[in-house]
Amino acid sequence: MDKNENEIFDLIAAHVADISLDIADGPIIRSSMLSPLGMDSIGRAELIARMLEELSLTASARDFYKANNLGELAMLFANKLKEQ
Amino acid sequence: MLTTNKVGITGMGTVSSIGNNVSTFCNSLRSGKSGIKKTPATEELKVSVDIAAKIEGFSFSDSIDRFQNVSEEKCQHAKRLGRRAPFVIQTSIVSALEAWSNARLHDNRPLPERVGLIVAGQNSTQNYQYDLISKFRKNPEYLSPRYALEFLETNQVGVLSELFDIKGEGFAVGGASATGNVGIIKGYQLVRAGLVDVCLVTGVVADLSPMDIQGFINIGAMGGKQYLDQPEKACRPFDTQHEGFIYGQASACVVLESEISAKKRGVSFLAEINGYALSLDSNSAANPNVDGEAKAMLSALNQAGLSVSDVDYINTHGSSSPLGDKTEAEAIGKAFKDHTSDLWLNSTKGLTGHCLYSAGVVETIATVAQMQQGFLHPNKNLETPVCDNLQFCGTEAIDYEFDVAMSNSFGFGGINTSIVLKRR
Repeated sequence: MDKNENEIFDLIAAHVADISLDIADGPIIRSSMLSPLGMDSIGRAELIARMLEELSLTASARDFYKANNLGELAMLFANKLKEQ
Repeated sequence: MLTTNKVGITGMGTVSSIGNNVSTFCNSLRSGKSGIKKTPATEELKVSVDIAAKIEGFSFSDSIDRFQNVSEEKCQHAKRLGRRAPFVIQTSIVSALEAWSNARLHDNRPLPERVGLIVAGQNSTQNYQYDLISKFRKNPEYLSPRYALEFLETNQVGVLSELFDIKGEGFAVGGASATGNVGIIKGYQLVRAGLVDVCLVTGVVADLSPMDIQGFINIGAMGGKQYLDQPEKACRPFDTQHEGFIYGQASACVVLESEISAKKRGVSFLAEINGYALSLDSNSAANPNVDGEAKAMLSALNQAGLSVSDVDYINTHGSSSPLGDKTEAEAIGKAFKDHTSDLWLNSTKGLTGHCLYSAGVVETIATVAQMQQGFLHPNKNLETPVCDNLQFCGTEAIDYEFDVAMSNSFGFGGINTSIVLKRR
């Protein structure tokens, strides 16, 4: 798995669009936060579980809770990928 | 203060192997169309019997779009709740929407606190869980967090209460193969006691995993082994060649309502529920009991204030199980005595398969539909009855106007239920 941060962000955006039916805050960009995109706590947890599986990562979901926006989340996943 | 309201059915809905709405389902009953067939070979793990009456060609989104009398807002809400939900939730949403619409509750309803909800279903997510096992074993962190909501039966309570803004009593019930009747009985009690004016009772699809199916085969309850090449002949309630039940899938929903509420809203009862019985044999095994079943039928009639001679028709439990059919036939003979020669019997399971948790609701809908339209559906595959003292419908539907019917459901664990329905 050698996805870069931009590719990971694209994956995140695609999953957010699929999980949330209430995207009312414009396009999904790196500075987007999850709540305005209609993602509740279960939606966030589902996003992380999907990304872990898609990237074949072994990590705890808690490692990703500190991200403040989708760009930071992509960075955390990219860093975790490099570590493994 | 508890009251004693008259209680009737004001709405019905279903998604089944013989029709994805009540109208189609009813036409299939009349024509004797069976949903039982060989299951597609694409299923990964082959069990000993691959014959079932499965819901086919179901599209959740298309099903919602077909409700022309439901607001766009309500349809979108339904789609949002069900879009990524398990199959059992999606089918429950569709059958409940049909029943709710049929009862004209969308624009003319009691206060949310006066509406109750009963989900008749147990272990309904077995196949959903089975499908997720491999992902879980690969890495527990990959498991969708929604699993914590969705493996619980009460997810249905949450989803349907949100969709219909229900804020009265709500819970899930289980009673093995009698689960549907148990749900109707508990809903009847709520409405009759005046705790709610309307109660939505939904019987959920039994989405059995391959392991569940093999379990039923291994315990000797499921049939079909002699009919692997003739699946249409595998389900034969009360026929001497019966060998066990055939698995069926259906979601079914009824709206129960007090007479006062129905009159206030200007809707009619499709049928009145006059009485019921729910009693146990004190038996942990799977074998049914003649005395327990006869007692349930007589208790239901006693509660309805009727005698055996008032009953025109019984929608039997009739699962195609050799011991089950024999026991029910004996119990009917014991309860109805000389009146059995005037009493018509059929088994809806001969067409739908055994829908397990929803069977009682499916068969109540079948009973009401036949009562309303004046016919009795065929007994599929009944060639040589197990007894000669009972009057079984033949292999063709018959025109028959009737006023009083009974619907039986019996379950593992010695659970006996009967419901008495009266034409209005």
